[in-house]
Amino acid sequence: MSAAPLAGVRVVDFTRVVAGPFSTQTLADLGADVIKIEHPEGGDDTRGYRPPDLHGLAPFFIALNRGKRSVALDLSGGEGRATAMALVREADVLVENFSTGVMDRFGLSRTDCLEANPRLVYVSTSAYGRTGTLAARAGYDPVVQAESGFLSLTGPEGGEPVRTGVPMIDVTTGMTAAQAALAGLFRRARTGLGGFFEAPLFDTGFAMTAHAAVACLAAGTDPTRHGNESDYAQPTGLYETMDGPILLSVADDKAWARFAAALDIRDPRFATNAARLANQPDLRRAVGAALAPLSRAEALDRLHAADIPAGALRGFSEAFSSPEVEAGGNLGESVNPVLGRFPSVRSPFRFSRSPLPDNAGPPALGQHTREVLAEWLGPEAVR
Amino acid sequence: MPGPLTGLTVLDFTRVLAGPWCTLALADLGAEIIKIENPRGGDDSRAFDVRKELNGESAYFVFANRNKKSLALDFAQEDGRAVVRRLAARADVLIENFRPGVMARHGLDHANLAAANPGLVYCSVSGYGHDSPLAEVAGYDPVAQAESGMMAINGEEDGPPLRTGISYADIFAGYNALQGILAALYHRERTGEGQFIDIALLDSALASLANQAQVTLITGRDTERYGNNHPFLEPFGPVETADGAITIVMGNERQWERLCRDVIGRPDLLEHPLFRDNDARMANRQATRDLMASVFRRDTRAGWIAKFRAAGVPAGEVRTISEALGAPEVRHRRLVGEVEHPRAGTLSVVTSPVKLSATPTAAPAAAPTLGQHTDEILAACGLDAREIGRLREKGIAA
Repeated sequence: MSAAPLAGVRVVDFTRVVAGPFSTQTLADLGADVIKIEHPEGGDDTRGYRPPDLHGLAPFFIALNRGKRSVALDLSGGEGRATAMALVREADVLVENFSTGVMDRFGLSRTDCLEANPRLVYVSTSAYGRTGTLAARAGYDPVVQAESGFLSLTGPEGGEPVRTGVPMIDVTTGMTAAQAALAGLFRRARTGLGGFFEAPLFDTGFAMTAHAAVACLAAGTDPTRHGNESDYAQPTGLYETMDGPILLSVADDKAWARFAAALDIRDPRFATNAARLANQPDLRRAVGAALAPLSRAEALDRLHAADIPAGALRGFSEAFSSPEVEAGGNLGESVNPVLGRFPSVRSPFRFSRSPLPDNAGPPALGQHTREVLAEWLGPEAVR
Repeated sequence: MPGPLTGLTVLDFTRVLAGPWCTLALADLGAEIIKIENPRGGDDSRAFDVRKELNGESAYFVFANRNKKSLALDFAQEDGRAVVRRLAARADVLIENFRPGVMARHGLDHANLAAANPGLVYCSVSGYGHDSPLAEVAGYDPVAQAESGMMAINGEEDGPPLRTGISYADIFAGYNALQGILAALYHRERTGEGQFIDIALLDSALASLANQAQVTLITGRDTERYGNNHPFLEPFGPVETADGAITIVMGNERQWERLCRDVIGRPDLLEHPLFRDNDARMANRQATRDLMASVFRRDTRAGWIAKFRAAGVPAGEVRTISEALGAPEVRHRRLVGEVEHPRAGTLSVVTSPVKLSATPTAAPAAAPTLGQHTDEILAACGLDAREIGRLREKGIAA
């Protein structure tokens, strides 16, 4: 077995809140040494995001900063900036998500950093891009969900648009930023040169409108919301069983034939997808009546045996104790000086040859300042 | 200028969304994507959301498959498999999203292909992962959303759980596959080794739950749904103006002060016992929302947004997709491009959100028609016209 794919890669991480920390957490999961630079007073804002309060720690911070080391540096003064630049000289990747202009004020602009270290992969997670008329505008997940049109796609049929429970645009921007860093490292392995890479929140949010945007570009009309149902195929969505709802999706007529046989539904009005779409209220009643007397487990067994996509609707606590999660090994343990050992979600990567490091806990503020400065810059740096 | 992955070849056996989303991004980064499709119909999504405006092409397919080449090839037959083995011997990456076991049945699993090409990065995207007891169960986005708990935290406070309008579990899995492939390529640059990457829809949905999952893991309690509201910030979310909704974010007390003073001209609220700080506003949520509703009715969306921007307080228009497509930010960032499609003519498409200074992403090109590049790809892997003709006659290639 070899080391993790990014073993030995040094990341200096100036990000805060959600999108940036999500990206550097991915790099940490992949084995990189991620040094989180934080302000000595308070650090990353999410350290203070409550409730709930977990022995003085915030779930936001814990969930987005596993496997990193914290270095507390005040970048408002010359000494802090010089130390930061010394770390940048030793780094392979820099990631930052300040408002446009802040890194410049710290003397850490992309030009400054790439001049000091031409092999550096400099990744900016900006809101609307680092250039142009909107560069100065700050970005927030809910605002970008609204502005990109993304928000208009989720919600009950006939109801209002609903923001997603997970901050989707922050999370996906974290992913595009990690991809930019990885693509940059790959290119550097071939050419020896780093460069500037950008993954803005708005651009990512807009890309997330996916096929809905292309359909709208083609047809000139806006898509409508369908709640949990599909506008292409029926039956789809949530159905009650004796002991809890399941979600199912019958995509075509062959699947319907298997589905109808599994639940013993015989009605010629439902033979084709077009007919099922035309008779939706009756279809919903018929399927509802067939599933209502079954236990959830029995209903899912029958549907899985008939090769119909279906699953239990779960809350988190049920999802975490489910056989799928147990089988997938999705939960791990982290350690933090304050919390001790605590459960956390594992990275979704599974590599055959370069296994990933175990979950390490989120750092306490400044926990690794001396250790990192000594390792990266030599023992004289901590005197 | 070349992209960061220029010169790499990807054999793409994926269909519908999770896999194609990954190879779309690999194409944007400069890789050559050879999409291997069944000659009888190809990718299932070619039949989704077919539009007369696209001359009978699928909006879904043209979005997810731009910048790829299509090779129509039946690898259920030995002659087709032989072509795949030849292609895999010189490919850098192979990605597939069949159920675990399907590729092995055709002798095209990682172990078999890596014997001839040890540097091959082989990525599999499935519902539950290759070592799962549920490996045989097919994975679908809505099911992964339901089973991971993602759906349970989505929706109005007093409404039912809600699936997202876009297939997020698929998109997360596609992005994780991409990150896995990029990390494995970097590892290969340093060691020469390829490897097998096992990405599951369920793993990806769970990993996206971020702070929400962490709360449940530590407290053992389930998170509630908040709809457009925030669990501990007020005011927050959409509010109606004279001509449509805007959404506001009150991240801290400095923003509330600027909102009252500079945006709505009500500095008196800063002293008001019902509204003076976030705790007071949380205790008086309905009164806060009623107040905001009456204030924001008085001007238009554009009028309010101008005031928010001037004051540096976050807010944005709640847009439909067509409004978003026409927005100045979208034009400025060149997020919509035009491509020429062999059947649908000039098409508008959404472009890559990743901007690279030294190695820019590829210019957008149209999604291929089924088998559009069959001859070109087969010729490049050494088949002569007679051999290609024979494969076509037998229905193995198209």
